[in-house]
Amino acid sequence: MTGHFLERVRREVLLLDGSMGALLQNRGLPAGYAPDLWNLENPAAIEAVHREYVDAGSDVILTNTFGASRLRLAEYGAEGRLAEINRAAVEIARRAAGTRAYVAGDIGPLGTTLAPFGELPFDDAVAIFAEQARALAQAGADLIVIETMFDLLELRAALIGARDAAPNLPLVASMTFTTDGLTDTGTDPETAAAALETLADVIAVNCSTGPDAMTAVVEKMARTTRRPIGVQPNAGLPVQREGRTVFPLSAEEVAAFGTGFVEAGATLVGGCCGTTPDYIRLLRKTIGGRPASPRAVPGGVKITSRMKTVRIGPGFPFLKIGEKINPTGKKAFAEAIREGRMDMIVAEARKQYEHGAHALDVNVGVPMTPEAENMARAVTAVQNIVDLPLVIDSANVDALEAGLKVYPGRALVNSVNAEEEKLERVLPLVKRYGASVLGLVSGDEIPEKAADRLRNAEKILKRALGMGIALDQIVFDVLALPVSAMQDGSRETIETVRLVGRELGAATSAGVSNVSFGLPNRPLIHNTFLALAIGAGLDAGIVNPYDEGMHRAVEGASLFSGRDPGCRRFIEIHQAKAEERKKPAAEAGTPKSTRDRIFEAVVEGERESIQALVRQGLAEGLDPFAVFLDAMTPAIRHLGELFGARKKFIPHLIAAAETMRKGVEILSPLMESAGIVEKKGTIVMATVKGDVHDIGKNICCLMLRNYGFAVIDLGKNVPCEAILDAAAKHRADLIGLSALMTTTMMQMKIVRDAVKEKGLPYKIMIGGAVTTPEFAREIGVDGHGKDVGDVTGVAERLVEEARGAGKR
Amino acid sequence: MPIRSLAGAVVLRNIPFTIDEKKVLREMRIPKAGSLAELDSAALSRDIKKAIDLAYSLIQGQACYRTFRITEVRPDTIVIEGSGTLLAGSNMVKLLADCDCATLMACHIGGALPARVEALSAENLAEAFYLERVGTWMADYMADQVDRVVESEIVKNGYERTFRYACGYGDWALSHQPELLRLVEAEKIGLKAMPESHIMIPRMAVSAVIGWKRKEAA
Ligand code: B12
Repeated sequence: MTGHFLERVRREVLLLDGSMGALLQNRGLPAGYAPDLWNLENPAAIEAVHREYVDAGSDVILTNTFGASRLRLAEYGAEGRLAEINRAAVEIARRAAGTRAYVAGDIGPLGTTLAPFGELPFDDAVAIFAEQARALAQAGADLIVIETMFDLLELRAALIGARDAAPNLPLVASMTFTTDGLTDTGTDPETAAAALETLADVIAVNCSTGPDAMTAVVEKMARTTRRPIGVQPNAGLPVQREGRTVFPLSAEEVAAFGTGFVEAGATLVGGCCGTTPDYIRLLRKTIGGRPASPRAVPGGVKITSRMKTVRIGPGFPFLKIGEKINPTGKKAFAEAIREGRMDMIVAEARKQYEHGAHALDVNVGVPMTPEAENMARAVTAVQNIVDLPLVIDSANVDALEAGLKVYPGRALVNSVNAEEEKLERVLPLVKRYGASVLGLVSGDEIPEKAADRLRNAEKILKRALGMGIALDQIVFDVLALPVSAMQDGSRETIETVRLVGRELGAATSAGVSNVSFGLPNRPLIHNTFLALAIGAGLDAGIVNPYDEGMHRAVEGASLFSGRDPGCRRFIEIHQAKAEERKKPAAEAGTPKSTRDRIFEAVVEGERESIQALVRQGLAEGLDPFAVFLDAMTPAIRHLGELFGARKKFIPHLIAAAETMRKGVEILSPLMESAGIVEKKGTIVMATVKGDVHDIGKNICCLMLRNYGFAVIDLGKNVPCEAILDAAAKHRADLIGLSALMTTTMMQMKIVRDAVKEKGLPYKIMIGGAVTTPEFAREIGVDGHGKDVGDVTGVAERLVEEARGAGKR
Repeated sequence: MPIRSLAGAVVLRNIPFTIDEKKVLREMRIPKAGSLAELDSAALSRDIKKAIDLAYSLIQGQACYRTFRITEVRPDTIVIEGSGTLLAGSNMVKLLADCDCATLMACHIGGALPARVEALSAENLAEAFYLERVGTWMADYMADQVDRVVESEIVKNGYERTFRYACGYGDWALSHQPELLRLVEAEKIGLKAMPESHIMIPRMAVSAVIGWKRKEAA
């Protein structure tokens, strides 16, 4: 093969090969047998298949090493022969290729899931991939293809490992997308391309779907990255035919997509499962040697999560990076991190997401805590619940790296500056993990003048470019300074935005909340600064997403800075807001009495206000019994009726019941001191032995108490004896039993039989998911309640019966 | 591609999730309200939102699944490589008769949410109830996530999936729960069944089987 692979694939269409497995099976490879072993056991067969592909016109052939990683070989106890197998595979391919084709060392997935989603630690995965890549490279492969990957994180590990082992070989990164256009783990083609372009030389799609669904994937990738694009479709979606997996599309049908692939931007085209040399021959005929199609790729710095890409740069929406995941100056937050709790981080992540942040800064730096470990946990926890790209923020390089290892996307590393030590320690991380980076334009000190800040930016840029980090991986932080202390410096900050944009063509960002230290009305200062800086060309900011004024400032300033073409976004947002304002406010109405307001608070479940209202009513001279009997009880009964009429539902009922309970807390001592409170009856309630579900029963207890019953709640998993003891002790009228499962509802019969056997006076009612009135009859208990809406009715009836029968 | 879950149980941790208000409202049996904003009670809407926010910081979705080859279809049982007794009942036979493999799965949302429900029950039952409903819905949601992963493996290998059939439904008795959990190696995700009642702990958990149905070519 003449010419360097990468140079050629940038210019013209090169043909890959097709499937290996099926052709080996035709040559006698038993189903289920590891094809990788045949590199040693039957090299002639492998070579023959390679030859067929080269003869058909493949420019690149893949070694027979898809499963030749330590982990996969271990499935056959062959991990000890890893080097041997991979070497043999390259040699066989080389023999077949001669000078007619490039030999690509092939690497497939490990067949397990990486932490934090699965169990394999990132570092182990990197080492496993590196080991195989090293064997392939040492045997003389021309390039390495990592393919059929469905998890972005695993592919990153593979690329990092391969780069470690073979720093000079071109790397092709190929992912598998399902028919909905996403990978199994939810990554879209744009995000795959954006996340991988900093690590791989060619970005590709293979396997999984047929060619029709792949054209769109190629198109999306080609519009996202300038890297060459590859495509290897299956011969359609597989079907089972007479116990065999069959790929239904013919060579003609697949080759018909060739031109479309090339027009969409692909230059490396081959086949995956079900394709044979015939397919390659036809593809060669239709597209072989064609020049690469021209591609338009927008600029900007990209950062991504597993599922989302955002761009930072002129013309793109101003990027709002949420600042709230940061313990600085926040006691409770720092305390949570110190205790190893992630709940506050998760809560802030959700809230910022809901308030319109585009990306989230994650900083967990608390003195005397294991920051690296906490960073990994925080990044994991945040990704579990929002799909926003993350900014990994730490002064500690180990913490940065720990965050990068559990992050499948392309993060923004916060930060590097022009200090020698920082450059030396942070930039290699950015390079290795293919991240983007925030470059603070400070050096050993913070320069006041914009020109000096520009000099620092240039220093960072030069060093980064020298390491193979591209301009579109760097965002410069222009250093927002407290304007109260540094008014000149603050003016220079705005000037720095202009200068960095103009002189370096680079993207800029600022930590907005810094500007207002020591001044009143801080939000006004932030948002004024934002408007000015966006006007000067600022592309991103670390901001407070909870400040509505911030959003308004950004929307307004975007109109004047080419970030909102046709003012479309502005109009959309503000028209919706205008509509909102037009809605009539709730009518004020005539002032209501306190009794009515208590009634309403119970019906509406206003738990927060009920106690104050009750106190107010008492202060106005209402009698506690009147509050209970004339306001609350009618309210809860009214709600019961609405429930029966399907106008209100169980959640309303529970909210009301809980509200009433809170009100009664105030009334009880007063009612009790005023005289003996007559209870309607005494009920012992329990979830039966073996069952741990008790929320349903708890709700029933609450409701029964509100209706004036004395309820003794024994909790869950309660054995028969304990129920009978409690019933005796409290001289119960009624026992209520709950069970959710068929395996536990037979306990109800045990209780019932014990009661009957001992001739005890209690009535029994039952309830819970699996119980029915028929079951109640069958086991001979007295009543069944289907939900919280009818439990009181059943109880009233049974207590009456119990008392009426003169058992007491 | 070899079928990776045939070789051993696949364990998933940190399953990403989003809590959909609409689904939560449905789980609470509030018909017609598509969002919290549409709810007729401001207090209720605020409380449910609070429960959702709290749930975000408590849920930890984890799962394991494992695939077995079906070796025999008996009139009342489906025999798989690991067990001749687990997949019992006439519904089961109907479900899996045309399948080559069966994937067993189990998942849960962690113990923190149920524990918080319990703690809240003593002080504020309404909040406990809302959180419980969010949690029960999310247990199902986690099962759907695993389902997606399993389905993709099934389709890639040229099969169609059956619906997900959970133990304890129809004539598949809960007494099979311990064996199911053993076969999917559920101890790896800290999931076990109580003696006798066979209730899984942590309790917001789902266990089920999905079949690999032969797709006949046109
Ligand atoms: C939500 C739900 C789940 C959730 C949450 C479970 C939980 N609570 O922790 C999830 C998805 C996790 C789940 C899982 C399972 N579930 Co489920 N689940 C349900 C469902 C749909 C609702 C239960 C519920 O929470 N209701 C809301 C609460 C508040 O209501 P409640 O407890 O019933 O209480 C009310 C009334 O019953 C009554 N009441 C209660 N006690 C009492 C007492 C008295 C005295 C009175 C008068 C009234 C009364 O008032 C209460 C308030 O209104 C039921 C079916 C159903 N429609 O009930 C199935 C159901 C309970 N589940 C079932 C099954 C099989 C399972 C699983 C085994 C499936 C599986 N293999 O994964 C697992 C088991 C989980 C485990 N830990 O072992 C079966 C049980 C059948 C059986 N053989 O026992 C049911 C009945 C579904 C069915 N149709 O078959 N499940």
